[in-house]
Amino acid sequence: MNITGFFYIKLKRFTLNTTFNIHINKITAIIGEAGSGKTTFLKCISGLLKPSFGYLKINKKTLYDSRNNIFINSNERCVGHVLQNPYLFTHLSVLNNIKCGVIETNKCYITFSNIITYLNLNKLTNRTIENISGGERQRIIIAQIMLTQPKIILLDESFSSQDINMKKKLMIFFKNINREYKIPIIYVSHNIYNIKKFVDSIIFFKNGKIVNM
Amino acid sequence: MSNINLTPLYLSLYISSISTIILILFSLPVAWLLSQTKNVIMKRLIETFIALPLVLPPTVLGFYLLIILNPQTIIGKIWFNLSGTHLIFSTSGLIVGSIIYSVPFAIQPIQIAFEKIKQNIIDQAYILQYSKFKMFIKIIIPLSKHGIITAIILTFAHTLGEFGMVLMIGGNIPGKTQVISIAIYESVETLNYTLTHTLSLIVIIISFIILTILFNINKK
Repeated sequence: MNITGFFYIKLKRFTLNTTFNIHINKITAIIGEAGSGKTTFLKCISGLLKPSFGYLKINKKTLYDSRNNIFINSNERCVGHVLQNPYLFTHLSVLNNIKCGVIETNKCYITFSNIITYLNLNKLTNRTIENISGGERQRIIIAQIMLTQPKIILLDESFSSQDINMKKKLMIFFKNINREYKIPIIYVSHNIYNIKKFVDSIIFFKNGKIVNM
Repeated sequence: MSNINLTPLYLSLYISSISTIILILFSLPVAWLLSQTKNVIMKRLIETFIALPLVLPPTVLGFYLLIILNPQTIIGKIWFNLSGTHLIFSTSGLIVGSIIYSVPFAIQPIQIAFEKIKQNIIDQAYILQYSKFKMFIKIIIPLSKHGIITAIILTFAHTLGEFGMVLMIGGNIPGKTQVISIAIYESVETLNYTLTHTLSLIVIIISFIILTILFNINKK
């Protein structure tokens, strides 16, 4: 899979101004300091943010083009974006929160029972959202997003609240998804340590730009 | 008690219920658009326009409604062609007037509740491939339920207590436009204090129940 594009968006803290051409058949890490534009870049890919101008093509399909006024909304992009500060719906139980992600499709590669078992969520399903820890919250979000059967997965510091064992388990899980179902994964982190075994290539971000590819 | 005519009470409850239902259905999308718009000037203008019934004397509102809804105007003519009736001095006219009269009480609490919804909630719903409509129904409305219930109660209570505007566009026709506040006024005029006491007590009890529910919701 090939992601090409150019994003320009001026925010309060920095300006994202970058051209890119990324082959992401495997797992790609985006590394950069806090405030370098990594999260904004991912949000532009998933469609949660609309750049002021630029374009985005995934496998030659145009998702955004400011010149031709094309913008495919995030709910139509099939991008599984695990946000940095995700939100669980407080009016729903854990079980119903996870079920929010379920999408009826013939091409399911993740099933409900598999994901809740693998992410140790079985015991949590009857709990309310107020009674779960940060790590559990993060795993519920991952389950939710994976049940949407995304065609690309964007992980924004998504293992940060997990203990070492769960972190390893999640890395194995996503690596298997990538290898078995050929789902490209972009993993954002602010440090390069501990992820070398997980990722296949690394992109560095600095001051709103990709500095090497 | 058996001699007391409760028709004005039933009429008030009927007008309040219908007005509240229509107004809440209208206020949900309007409040959402107002909470999401980034055009500050437009937003302030619309908010000010919506808030006008809060400060205008009901008689002023009633006077302009009398002019707008009378059978000689376009609105009056369209209504007559559709229903064969007139809007002024009719129950339908009172419902139209009540809707306009109570607009700020419906929109403002809902808008405040919508404005409290953070962007990451909306983002999460989109990432889960929710359409705008599905997000609104399944996420936004349940998360704003306190604001919506407050709007329902305030609208209902405010409509129940209207007087000046009703008198202007509805007059005092028993069974048609004689709502409870008008019936109380008339009973005082005719020195029928038994009726005044009974109807007033009913209004006090209803108001007390409404406010108790409202305070309980806001404390949750």
